[in-house]
Amino acid sequence: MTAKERVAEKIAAARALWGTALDLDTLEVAAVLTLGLLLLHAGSVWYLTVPMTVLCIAGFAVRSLLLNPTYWLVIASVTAFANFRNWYTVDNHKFLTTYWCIALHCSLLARDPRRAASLQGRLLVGLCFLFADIWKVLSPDFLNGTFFKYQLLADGRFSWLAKVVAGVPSTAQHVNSLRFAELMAWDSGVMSAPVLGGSRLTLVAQVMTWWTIVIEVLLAAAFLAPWRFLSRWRHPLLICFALTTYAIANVVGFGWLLIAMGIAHCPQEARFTRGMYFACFVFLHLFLIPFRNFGF
Amino acid sequence: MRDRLNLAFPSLLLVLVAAVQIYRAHAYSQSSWKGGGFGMFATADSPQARFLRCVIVGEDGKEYRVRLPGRLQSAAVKARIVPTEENVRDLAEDALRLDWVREDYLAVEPLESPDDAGGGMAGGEAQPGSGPGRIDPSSLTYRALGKSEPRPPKELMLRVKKVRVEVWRSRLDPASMKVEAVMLRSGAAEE
Repeated sequence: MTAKERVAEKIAAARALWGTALDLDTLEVAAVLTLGLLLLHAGSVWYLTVPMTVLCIAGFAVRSLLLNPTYWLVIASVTAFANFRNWYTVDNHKFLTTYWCIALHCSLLARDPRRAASLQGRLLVGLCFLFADIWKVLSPDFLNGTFFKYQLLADGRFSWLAKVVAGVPSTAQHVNSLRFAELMAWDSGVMSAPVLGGSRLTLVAQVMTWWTIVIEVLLAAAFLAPWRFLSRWRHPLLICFALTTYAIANVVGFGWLLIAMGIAHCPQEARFTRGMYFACFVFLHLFLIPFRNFGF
Repeated sequence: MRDRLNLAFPSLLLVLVAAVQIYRAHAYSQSSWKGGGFGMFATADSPQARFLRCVIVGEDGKEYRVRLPGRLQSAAVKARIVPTEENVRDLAEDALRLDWVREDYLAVEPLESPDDAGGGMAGGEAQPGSGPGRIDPSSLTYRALGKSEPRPPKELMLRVKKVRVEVWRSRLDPASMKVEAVMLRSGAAEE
């Protein structure tokens, strides 16, 4: 067998594997993705990680557990207990993860579990974005662009974007970090400190603000409203949100959860959409590569 | 009916928790980023933008700015994220119960004992494995005596009459391009 034939054989095998993955049962795929999320990103407290590791490994090993309502009730109880113990410190997607585990339990008790899980995924995604929109409208510093301006100057996750796109020079970023440290130091009496911006800071902050508002309002509307002209945009919007948002501020756990719920809402025959979710899942992890270290 | 209730339960739970969080954020200055209301990335008032300033007052009325030790981390984080009168006062009372020693006191034990290196997350709280993180080392102040540290001579200790804890947030004024400290709550505990 020549090298060319070997490559062709490998490509054919990869295609067959990809085809098999796209044909898997939607609910089982969503359940497996949720277990992976819980295994790797559930949290760091021992009373969550220890039982969750055991439960997830059991779920991966015994396939029938994936669609067992009692199994998901136990998982939901463990995550709910951890959320309750750390109510004011855990991130919002940890709450959403718990609701999703409860939703899987409830769906598996229904007469048509796949349809029920699809509806649950749709409602949870829609409500999550609805409340995110409510908060953005309620916050006085979001709509005028101050929030993203502040994040671009203060949040390390945005420093690459601030430097390359917003034009904040490295020296200004260094000065700014000193100014923030000066203001927030425990022995400081400083009440205000000037910070340095960039040539396109205001423009970039405004674009980010309105992009966020528009896509989140569309997502809430598409997932919650019953109208067909909106509902057909659900999956493209969710994938677009994940790709644009997590490329900048990568919260893998949140993105992973949205993909799991999106897949649960995906009809079994929508192979292309499921394929897009799988690709999005891969990109979510590629975004973790610190490209700034390569000098980009 | 049971099927419908099953289907609605997770969504109702989400709505209930989020509604309570919106109320608490407005009633108690709770950070919108936490508490299950999906208010992350909606305001610059994140837990990381909040910080604590703690002042201890000696018998002679002299005030010293101090850093809260790692063993008060849990109460400090709570006061920072949910700065209710009760949470801030509780933190001040916890700080009042500590022994405060001159910061230049060096015991045989390492200065950063395990219980003091708990890893606070914001200004005013102990940072894991770091130094004191001061910006003004010229003025001498006090630090909490570690649990395992030997007791220093009396003259190095401060008899604290009052502890005042202030919760602040940093805010950007886009017009002047200045970051400003805005006080959210202040609470005190007296002997």
